[in-house]
Amino acid sequence: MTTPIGYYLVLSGILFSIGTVGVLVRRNALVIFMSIELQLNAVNLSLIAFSRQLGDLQGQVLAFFSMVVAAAEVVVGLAIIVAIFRRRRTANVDESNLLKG
Amino acid sequence: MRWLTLTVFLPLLGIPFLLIPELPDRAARLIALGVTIATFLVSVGMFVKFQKGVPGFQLVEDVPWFEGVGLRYTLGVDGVSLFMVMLTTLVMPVAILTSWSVTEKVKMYVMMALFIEAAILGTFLSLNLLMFFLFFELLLLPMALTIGIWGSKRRVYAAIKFFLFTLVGSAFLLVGILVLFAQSADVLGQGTFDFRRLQELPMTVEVGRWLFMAFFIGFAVKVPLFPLHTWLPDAHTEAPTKGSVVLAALLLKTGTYGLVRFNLGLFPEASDHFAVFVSILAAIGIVYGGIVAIMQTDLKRLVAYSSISHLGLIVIGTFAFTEQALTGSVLQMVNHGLSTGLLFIGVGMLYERTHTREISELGGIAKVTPWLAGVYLVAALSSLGLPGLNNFIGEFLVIVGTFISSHVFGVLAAVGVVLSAIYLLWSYQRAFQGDVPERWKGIKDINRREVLLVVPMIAVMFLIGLFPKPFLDRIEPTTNGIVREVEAAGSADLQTGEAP
Amino acid sequence: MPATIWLIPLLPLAGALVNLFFGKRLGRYAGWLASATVGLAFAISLGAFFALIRLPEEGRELTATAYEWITSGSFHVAIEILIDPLSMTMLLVVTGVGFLIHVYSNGYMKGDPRFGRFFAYMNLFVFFMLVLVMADNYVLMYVGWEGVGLCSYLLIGFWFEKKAASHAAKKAFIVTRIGDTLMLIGLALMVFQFGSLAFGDVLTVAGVSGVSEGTMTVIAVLLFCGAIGKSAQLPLHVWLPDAMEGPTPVSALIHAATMVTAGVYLVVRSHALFSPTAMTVVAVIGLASALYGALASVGQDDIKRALAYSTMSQLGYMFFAAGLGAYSLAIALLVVHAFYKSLMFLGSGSVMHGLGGHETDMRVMGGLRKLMPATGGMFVIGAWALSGLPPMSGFFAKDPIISYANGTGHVLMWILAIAAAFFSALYISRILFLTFFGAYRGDKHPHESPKVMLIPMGVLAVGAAFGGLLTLSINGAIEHFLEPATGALHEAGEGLPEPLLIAISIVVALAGVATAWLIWGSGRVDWVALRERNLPTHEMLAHGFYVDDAYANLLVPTLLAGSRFLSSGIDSGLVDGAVNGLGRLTERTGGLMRHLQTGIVRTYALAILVGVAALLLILEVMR
Repeated sequence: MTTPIGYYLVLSGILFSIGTVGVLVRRNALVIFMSIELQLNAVNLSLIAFSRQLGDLQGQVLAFFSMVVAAAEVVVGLAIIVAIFRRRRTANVDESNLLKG
Repeated sequence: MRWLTLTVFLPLLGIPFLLIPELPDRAARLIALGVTIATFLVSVGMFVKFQKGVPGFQLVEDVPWFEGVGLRYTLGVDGVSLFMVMLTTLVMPVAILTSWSVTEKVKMYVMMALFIEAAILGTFLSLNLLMFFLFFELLLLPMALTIGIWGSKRRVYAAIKFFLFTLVGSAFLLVGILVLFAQSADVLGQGTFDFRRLQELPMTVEVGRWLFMAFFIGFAVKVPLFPLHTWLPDAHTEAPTKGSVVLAALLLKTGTYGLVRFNLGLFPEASDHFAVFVSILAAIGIVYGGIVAIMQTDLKRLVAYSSISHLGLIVIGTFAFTEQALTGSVLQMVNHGLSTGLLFIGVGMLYERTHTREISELGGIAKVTPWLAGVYLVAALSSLGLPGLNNFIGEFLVIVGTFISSHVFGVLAAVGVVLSAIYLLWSYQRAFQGDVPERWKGIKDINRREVLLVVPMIAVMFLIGLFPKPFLDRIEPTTNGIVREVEAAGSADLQTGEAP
Repeated sequence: MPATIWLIPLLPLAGALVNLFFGKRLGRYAGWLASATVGLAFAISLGAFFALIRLPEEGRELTATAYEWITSGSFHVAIEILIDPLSMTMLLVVTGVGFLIHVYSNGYMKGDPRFGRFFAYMNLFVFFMLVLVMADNYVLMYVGWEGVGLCSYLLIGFWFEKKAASHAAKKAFIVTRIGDTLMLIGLALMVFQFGSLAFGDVLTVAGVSGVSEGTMTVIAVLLFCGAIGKSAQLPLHVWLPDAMEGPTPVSALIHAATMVTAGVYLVVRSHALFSPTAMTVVAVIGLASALYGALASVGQDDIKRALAYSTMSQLGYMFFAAGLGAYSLAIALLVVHAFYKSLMFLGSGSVMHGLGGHETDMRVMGGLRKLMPATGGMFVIGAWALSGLPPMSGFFAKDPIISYANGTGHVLMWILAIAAAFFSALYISRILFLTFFGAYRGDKHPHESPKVMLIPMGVLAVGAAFGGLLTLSINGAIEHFLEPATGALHEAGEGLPEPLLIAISIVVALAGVATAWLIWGSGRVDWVALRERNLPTHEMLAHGFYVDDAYANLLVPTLLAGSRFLSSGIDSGLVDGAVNGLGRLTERTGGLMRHLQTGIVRTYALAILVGVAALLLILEVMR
C-alpha cells in the first residue's frame, strides 16, 4: 500500500510556501538562508515523489545533484554572510543595499 | 607532430613564467619575445610541411571534444589561412619589441600580447565554427584591455567603443552560427559546427541569404567597412604602438579572413547575390577613407583612415570572384599587415621621441633622424603601392582582377592608388621635411633594438614584392576553389531564373 | 651576351645600395663609385649594341629571362628583358648621358652634407630607368615607370629642408601618379582584352585580335595618359617647372634627358595599339604642349624654369611626331634632345655654381660669356642646336618632323608646329642673350667651373653639335636602325617640296633668333620697360596661362574642402554622431531603469516570485 503522490505534493507545496514567505518577510540573512534551504528541499521532495511514481531513477539523481549543489551554495553563502557580519556587525539584509541603482 | 596545436597554444606557454612573482620587467619582455619567436619558428615548420599546389585543408587535427553540442577540436590550414598565420607569428615578436618603451604593468602588458597571439592564431586555424567563435571572442578582451590600460588620453572611450562595436557584430555572428547548427541538425539529423561538413549543407536560397547577412555584419565590423568603421580611428589612435600594430596588422584581418572563409565558403550563392552591394560599400570605403585621411592632423588617425581605404580594396577584390582578385586580396591582407604595421611602428618611434603625433607640431625630422625617416618612407611607399614592394603585387592583382569582373569597380579600386599618394606624401612632407624646429634638434635616430624590429618587416616586404610566386602558388589552389564554387552557385541561379 | 646584359641595370643598383648604406664612409669616392657603375653599364651597353647589329635585321633582339614573377590563373608576368633597336637606343642615351651627368655631379655636389645619399638616388634612378626601357612586358615597365617617379621624388626633394623643394617633390609624384593610375587602368583593360601584358603577346596580336577599334582607342589613350603625366604634357605638366627645385644635375638627367622621355618611349613602344583616333589625340596634345611650352618659356625669369618649359615643348614635338606616325623621327629627336637639353641644364648648373650656388634669376645675370667662356661657348652650341638651325643636331631632328607634318596634309598642324618653332628659337635665344650676352647685371663674382664639370659638358656639346650625323644617310641612319621596332617610316605623302620646307624652317628659326636679339641681346630695347608696358601678357606667360594657379586655387582647395567636410561633417558628425547618439540613448534609458534596482534582496525575491507566477499564468492561459 503506497501513499498517493498527492500527499507528497501537498507537503512539498506547503514547505515551499513556508520557505517563500520566510524569504520575503524575514530580514535576518541566516533565517532567509534557512528558508531557501526549505524551498530547495521542498522541490527535492516532489522530485523524489515523481521519481517513485514514474519508476524513473533520474528524478532521484537530480535530487542528489541539487543537494550537492545546495551544500556547496551553503558554504559560499554562509561565508559571505559571516564576512558581512564581521564588517557590519549585523545580518539584516535590508541594510545591505550596495547594489542600489 | 601536431603542428597546428603547437602553433596556437605555444604562446600561452609563456604565461606561467610571467606569473613568477617579482619577475623583473626586462625578463618578462624577454620571455614574451622568446615565446613569440619560438611560435614563429614552429609556424615556419608548419609552412615547410604545407604542400603547395594542393587545394583543401592540410595538417588537419580532428579530435572529439564535446560531441553533444557538435563541438569538435578541429584545426586545419589552407592557402588562405597559411599566410595569415605566418603574418601573425612574424608580427607578434615585432610588436613585443615595441613594448620596450612601455614601463607600466609590463608583465600584464606582454601577457595580453601572448593571449592575443593565441586567440588570433586559433581564429585563423579553427575549422569548427563554435571554436572559431570562441577564439574570435577571446581576442576581444585582451585587445580592449591593451587599449584601455596602456593607451593615451581618451583610451577608455576608445576601448569601450571598440569592445561594443565588435560585440554587436559578434552577436549577429553567433546567431548566424547557431542557426547554421540548427539547420544542420534538421538536415543531417545530428547538428554540427564542422566547417567542412557545413560547406556541403544544402540550404534554401532564402536561408542562405539571411545567414550571409548575419555573418557579413559580424565580419564587416571587424574589417571595418563603411559605415561601421568609426571605432577604428579611435582605437588605433588611442592604443599603444603594440596595440595599433596588432589591430591593423592582425585583428582587422580576422574580418577579411572571415569574409573569405565563411561568407564565400559557406554561402556562395548569397555571396554572388550580394556582391554588388558589398562592393559598393567597399568602394565607398576606398574613396571615403582616402579622402578623409588627407585632412587628418594626427599621424595615427591618418594611418587609421588609410587602413579603411586599403581594407576596402581587399573586400572589393574578395567580392569580384576572379582568381586574380581573390588571390590578390588574400596576399593584400598580408601586405597591409606589413606596411600598415610598419607605418604604426614608425609613428610609434616618432612619438617616443617627440611625444606628439600632431603633424603640425612635427617637421624636418628627416634632417635629424634620416634612418627613422627612411623607415617611415619605405612603409609609406609600400603602402602607396610602389612596384618592387609588397603592396604592388596585391593591389595590381586586385585591380586587374576586379576590372575583369566589373570595369566600374576596377576603376574605383584604382582611385585609392592616387589618394594614397596624396595623403601619405603630404603627411611625410609636413612631418619629416622642411626646417627642423629647435626643440627636435636633439632627438636620436633609431637604435639597435629598433633596427632589429623593422628589418624583418622590411625584408619580408621586399621578399613579397620581388618574389611573390612562392606566396601566390600556395594561395591560389584555395582561392581558385572558392571562386569556382561561387561561380557555380551564381550560374545555377541564372539557370533557375533567380536574379544573380 | 644575354647573361651579361643583366649587368646593365644591376651595376647601378649595386652602386645605389652601396652608396645608400656606406655613402657617408666613402666620402668623395661615393661619387666616383656611382659614376663608375653607370660608366660600366654604358660600356656593356655598347658591347650589346655591337652584338645587336651583328644579328640579321629580322631577328635583332636580345632577350633574357630571370624568373616568373607574378602568376595568377592564366595570367603570367616574368622578369624578362628585351633589347631591340628601340631599347638599345634608349639604353645608350640613359647610360651615356647618365654617366656624363654623374661625372659632372662630382663637381657640382661637392661639399654637400648628403653627398653619398645623392649618388645613391642617382644610381637608383639609372637602375629604374634601365628597367623601364629594357622591360619585356608592361608590368615590369611599370616597375621602372614608378621607380623613376620615386627617384624623381627623392631627388627633387633632395634639399627637403627647403619647403619649396619638398612641396615640388610631392607635387611631382602626385601629379604623375594621376597619369600612372590611368595607365594602370589601361593595363587592366589590356589584361581583360588580351589576357597578357607581355610585349610579345600584346603588340603582335593587337592588329588582328578582333578587339574593337573603340576599345583599342581607350587602351591607347589610357596608356597615353601615363605618358602625359610622366612627360609633362598638357594638362598634367604643372609639376615639371616646380621640379627645378631639385639639384641641377637631376634636372638635366631626369627632367630633360631621360625620365620625361619615358612617355615618348611608351607611345613608340606601344604604337601597334594606337588607333587613328588615339594617334590624333597624341598629336594634338603634343602639338598643344609644344606651343604652350614655347610660349610659357618666354615669360620665365628663372633660367631653369625657362628650360623646363622648353623641355615640355620639345617633348611635345616628339609626341607630335609619334602622333603623326613618324615614330623613328620622335626617337631621333629624343636622342639629340637628350644631348643639347642636358648640356644646357648642366650649363645653367655651371652658371649657378659660378654665381655661388643657388642663383637662377636671369635678371641678375648677363654678360657671363666673358666671365665663364667655356660654359658660355657650350651653351651657345646647345641653344643653337635647339633653335633648329643647321648645322647643329636640332635641325636634323626637328626639321624632318615639321616637313613630315606638312606631308600628312594637316595644314593647320603644320602651321602651328612652325609657330612653335619660331617661339622655340625665340625663347632659347632669349635665355642665351639674357644670361651670357650684354653686361653683367648682378653683384656677385662669377667664376668658371672646374674641369670635372666642364669635360662632361664638352662631350655633350660634341653630341649636340654632331648628333645630326645620326640621322644623316640615305634613309636616315637612326631611323633605319629603329625600323625593326618602329616599322618603316611611311611616306608622308605629297606636300610642299623639301627644299622649300627647309628654307621655311630656317627662315622661321632665324626670325625667332633675330627677334630675341633685338629685344634682349642688342641692348637697343629696354626689355624691362617693354615688360612693364605689357604686364598682363607677361604675367600670363610667366604663370603658364594660369593653369597651375587654376589647379592650386580651384582643384586643390576643392579637394581639401571635400576632405574636411567628409572628415568633420560626415565622419565625426553623422556616422560617428549616430554611434555616440546610440551610446547616449542607451545611457539615458539605463538612467531611467536604474531606479528599479533598490538593492534590497527581498524586493528582488518578490519580483522573482511575481515573475514566476505571471509566467505560469501565461502558460496556463495559452494552453
